[in-house]
Amino acid sequence: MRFRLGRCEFNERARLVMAIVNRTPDSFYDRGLTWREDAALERVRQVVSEGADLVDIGGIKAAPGAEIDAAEEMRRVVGFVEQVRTEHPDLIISVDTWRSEVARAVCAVGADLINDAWGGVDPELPSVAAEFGAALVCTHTGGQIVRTRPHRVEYDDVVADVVADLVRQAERAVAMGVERERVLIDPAHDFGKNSQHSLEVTRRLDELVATGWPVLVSLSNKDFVGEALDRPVGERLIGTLATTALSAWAGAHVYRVHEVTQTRDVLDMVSVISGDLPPRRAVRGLA
Amino acid sequence: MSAALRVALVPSTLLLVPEYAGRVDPIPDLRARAHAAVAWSVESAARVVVVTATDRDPRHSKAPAGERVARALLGDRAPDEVVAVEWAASPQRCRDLGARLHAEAVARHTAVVVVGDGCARRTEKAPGHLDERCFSYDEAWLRAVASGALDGLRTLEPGLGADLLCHGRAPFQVLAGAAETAVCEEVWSSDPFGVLYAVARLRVDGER
Repeated sequence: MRFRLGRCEFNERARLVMAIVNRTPDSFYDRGLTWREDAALERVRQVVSEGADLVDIGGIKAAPGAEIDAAEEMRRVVGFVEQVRTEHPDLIISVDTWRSEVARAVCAVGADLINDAWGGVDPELPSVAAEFGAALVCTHTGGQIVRTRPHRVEYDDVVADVVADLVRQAERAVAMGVERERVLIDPAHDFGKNSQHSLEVTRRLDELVATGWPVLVSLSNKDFVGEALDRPVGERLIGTLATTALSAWAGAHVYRVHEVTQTRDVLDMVSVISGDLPPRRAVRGLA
Repeated sequence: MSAALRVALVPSTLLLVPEYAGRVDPIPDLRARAHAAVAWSVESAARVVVVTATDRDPRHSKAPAGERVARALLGDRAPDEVVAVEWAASPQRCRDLGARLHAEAVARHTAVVVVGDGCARRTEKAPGHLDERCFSYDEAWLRAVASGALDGLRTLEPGLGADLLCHGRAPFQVLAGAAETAVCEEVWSSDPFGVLYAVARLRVDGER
């Protein structure tokens, strides 16, 4: 298996860090830390120096809140993407949006990947990725309406639902012209799922990997981690990293995260243990 | 007139074999010098003989570490013969092996790659912790190599060498059995991990 993002090509042993860069005043974790453009640009510089492979830029928080129309979303992200592209010509840039008009605008200024985090609510999104040769992340939200919370959602078999829906979305994207090697799938922990569902998806992540599509996981500081340990936002890093390690062992390929340095270490540690990457330094017992 | 034989001396550290390598080379300078010395030694030779010691307490069925180091450094050129002298061999046994080596080397224009290093107890973090007797022991063999007065290697005491985890003592004494004197063209040494490594290029007269 191989997949491509921007000009880079990866194989099934890749474990990539996708750093979250919010252009929002109200996201749950950073609470507007990178709302100012200079702060967001500095965040990009920092995550690149910390070893991020790509950045995921978003202009609307996932949780319910004030409505942000397409014009405002574009004001938040398009110019910013253009600046990031100018400053980091080789950086893989993803944009988190469900709107095809926003996707078109950011692809025009250099975005490489559209992260369709709401599961295909805009059916034209794949055609934009196809038009620009961009990659596309297909996500499973269980039919959840954009920016709403799950309420009494149940599945006969959540993983079967995730797999069937993601494979259908991925094949549809390819049929609409997205390069097969530029389609990723994301089970979307917490989206359209209670914590038991997200934990089961994590437990059976190998079933997603077995589809042959590259798997992106977005685990960082989410509620299912918080509920697993009864920890509030701000105290979920260890739980996130444990989940990251297990997901990496199961074979996921891209990790959307707030904390880059720690995630990089966890992923590299898994890669070294699995034999996919030599140790950085090997002297003990050899001198 | 006989041609001078070329001898390369390199350490027997497993850091020089590829199978345990990490992503960052901890010994780039040593590796480059060892490769260059071995390449120099074999560039016009008809045969290559590797002289090294057996492993101290082998718990594996692989070739001795020193042989694998030599093969890694020789690359595509496989050695024609490997003399893996017992790690604890007596000085007389080493001398006898050296005498045979000399005769064959002269007759068949042979390069010799000696794989061995010094004491492994030179610092508190060294493999064998610190034993200050290392310094005089290492100085003695390094001085003999650097000066070309190889007969100085014959007096290295095997018991003390074993205590100090000197892996090169026996192969050095094989070399001394093959040649009493040599011209040292280059010698470099370093002990980054508490083990004394040396890389040397020696020319030995074909006549005795």
